[in-house]
Amino acid sequence: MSESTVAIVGSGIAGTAIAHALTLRGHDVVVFEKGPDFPYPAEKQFRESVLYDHSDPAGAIADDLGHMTEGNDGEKKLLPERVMVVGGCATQWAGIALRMAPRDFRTRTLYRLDEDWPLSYEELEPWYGHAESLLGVSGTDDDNPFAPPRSRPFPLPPFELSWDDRVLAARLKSHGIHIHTTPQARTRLDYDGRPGCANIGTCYMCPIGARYMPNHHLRLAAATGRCTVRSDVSVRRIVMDASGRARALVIRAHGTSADREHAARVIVVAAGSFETPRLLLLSHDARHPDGLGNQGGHVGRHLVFHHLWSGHMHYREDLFAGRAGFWTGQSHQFCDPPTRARHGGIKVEFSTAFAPQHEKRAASMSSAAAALAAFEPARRCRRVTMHTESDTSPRKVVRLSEARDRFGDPCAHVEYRLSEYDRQTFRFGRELFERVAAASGASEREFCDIRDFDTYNHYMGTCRMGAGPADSVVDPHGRVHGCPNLYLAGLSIFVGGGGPLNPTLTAVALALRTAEKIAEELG
Amino acid sequence: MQLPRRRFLALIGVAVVASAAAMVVRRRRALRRWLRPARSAPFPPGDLDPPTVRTLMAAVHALLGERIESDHYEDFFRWRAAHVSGCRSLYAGFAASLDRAARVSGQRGFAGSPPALQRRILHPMLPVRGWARVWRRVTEPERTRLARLVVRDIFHLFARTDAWVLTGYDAWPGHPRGLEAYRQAPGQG
Ligand SMILES: Cc1cc2nc3c(=O)[nH]c(=O)nc-3n(C[C@H](O)[C@H](O)[C@H](O)COP(=O)(O)OP(=O)(O)OC[C@H]3O[C@@H](n4cnc5c(N)ncnc54)[C@H](O)[C@@H]3O)c2cc1C
Ligand code: SF4
Repeated sequence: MSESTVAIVGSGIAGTAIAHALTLRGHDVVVFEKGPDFPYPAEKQFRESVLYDHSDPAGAIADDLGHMTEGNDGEKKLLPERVMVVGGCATQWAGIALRMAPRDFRTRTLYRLDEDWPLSYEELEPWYGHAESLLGVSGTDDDNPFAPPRSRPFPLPPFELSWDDRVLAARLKSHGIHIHTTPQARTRLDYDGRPGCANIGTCYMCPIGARYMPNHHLRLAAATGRCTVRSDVSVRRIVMDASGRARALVIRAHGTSADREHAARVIVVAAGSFETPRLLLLSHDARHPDGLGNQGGHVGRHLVFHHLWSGHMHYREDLFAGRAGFWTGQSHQFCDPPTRARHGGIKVEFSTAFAPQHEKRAASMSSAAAALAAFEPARRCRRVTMHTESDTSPRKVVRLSEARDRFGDPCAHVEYRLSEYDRQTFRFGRELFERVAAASGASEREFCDIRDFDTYNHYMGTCRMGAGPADSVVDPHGRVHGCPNLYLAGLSIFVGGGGPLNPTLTAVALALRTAEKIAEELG
Repeated sequence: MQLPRRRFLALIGVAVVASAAAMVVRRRRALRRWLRPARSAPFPPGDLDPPTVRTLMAAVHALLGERIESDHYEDFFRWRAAHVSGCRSLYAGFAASLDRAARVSGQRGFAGSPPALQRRILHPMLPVRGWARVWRRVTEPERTRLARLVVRDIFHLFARTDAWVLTGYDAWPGHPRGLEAYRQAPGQG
């Protein structure tokens, strides 16, 4: 049996934030990651995927280990989107790093939506500051009248609006619609050993580490000599002792034939919003017949996605969108509409993103002239996304599946059906899209179908926090009710979706707060 | 009850079409797999020989014209031949079939052939849609199908790179483009 002071399940951004914070405080930490290692910076992956259109199968998790089943609304399947590697989803994220608004912590009180969070914006505010410093967030609130209060400035200056953003912003302003810059975990200047962004533009795979990846801090943590990352290892169970404390993890290194135990004084599960509830359910024992933390039956329930409904706006004049890879313009003006009790708030992304369908169409042509004719309208096209809030419902859940992995453990099953609230939100988004198109002078536009949404892996709420086991799985520090040394971290502990803004900065702020609590407990 | 002959035949026709459509819907995954061209069997990856590279690059120019930057196409072929299983033999086979076709027309090889002949040789490898695609899949030799994989990769690469510059962008993604130009009107950065 191996052991460490702290054992963390999952090397994503939340697990990494905790591992890094605790190793800096002198504790020894082992991080278990089911997926393979992911070289950092992602130069190799950039070359392979961007330049040579190749994805190395050795860089992806085996199908059965990353498997899950689903019964969802929507064209998009969740399974192919899974990112299970060292660093987790944030090896590929867009890096938009936003704070929730104070009102998003009180949705039950203000809008009769889901539940209020058991902590306030004011309590989390200092941790948002720490999280922004950790990730190296570039941004400003100077141009954003809708930004929440902050006690310290952003660590880095913002990425300015693109030329095409400014053209549209000027038109929209005269119609009362406000575009501002986007805070993002991408270095506007050199920062903390990471080079400044060079606008290479393939940001899902940044070759220089300008867009934040957890692997940066895993490397720094490993350099202290107190942090080990064990990749290609599945954590199969959490073992509890007779007193109700978490004693060890049952682990299986892939390619070996026997389980081992790894004992730890503190265990943190940061395995994402599908695998975290799965592990709690799989770890049932005589004392916890329905799974750990599941006294109130909340493990796996209250799943919420952000729905990203997008459309294209076509203009008569050239805008040349796509000249910046990072995110530029967006609007928080519609995050808290007066009708929010009936439908969700919306963040509007005007970013200068290139509309990829032109590239795709051009690639399918049979002559250079036809390919250029197919590509050319990209110059006058803007992709606009409605990044929307959602609600919880009994038909949005994670439970154990009939399907099993190679060890015989049931996989996660995700059931996700759009609610009436979501349908109303879609209508609101479509109207808003039309309003933006008209105000910005679009000559043509098309908006997607309600079933055609993206989620960008914004999966939240499956082990929500709350006052006690009757209404939640963890307390406001992420500690599992009834298990004093077992903590959860990541988007799974959100209460509902936390409003319409990108969730990951909040997950990191919460993780840093959890790390502080663990450090206190360890003494 | 007796059905008039015409009506009976019409009903049979409708039933046949409906069951064929249902079969297509039910088996669409398998059909799609069958209709999709297969990658060639794995051969050891390795370096491409110079004549193969010359023929590949001649094909690139015959398809895309002279206004493109050629280096990244060559780099693409060389890297994939050296690292991706099956690519080296795919490229060598593709180049050999173009050279063979050129020789049949009295030339010494594809690279030195007149542009009109080059285009004629490449024509059956260009993408087609709909029923023409199905028909080709059934009728044409494996060799031509594999060649079309190379042609498809060439157009993909073009769309990701030169198409940007040829339609007026300063650069395509994948190069450091700096933090100034994107804030200016195009051409002024
Ligand atoms: C394309 C894309 C764009 C995005 N853009 C944004 C954005 O701009 N802004 C934003 O806020 N968010 C964004 N996100 C979402 C963001 O990346 C995630 O919210 C965040 O990274 C989740 O981090 P996590 O640590 O909670 O979980 P994960 O990143 O999912 O990490 C969990 C890790 O645990 C491992 N694991 C699971 N089970 C086990 C087990 N039993 N044993 C061992 N290991 C296990 C998994 O393999 C995984 O690596 C984006 C995501 C994607 C994919
Ligand atoms: S634009 Fe910046 S963040 Fe994106 S890939 Fe380039 S250097 Fe990295």
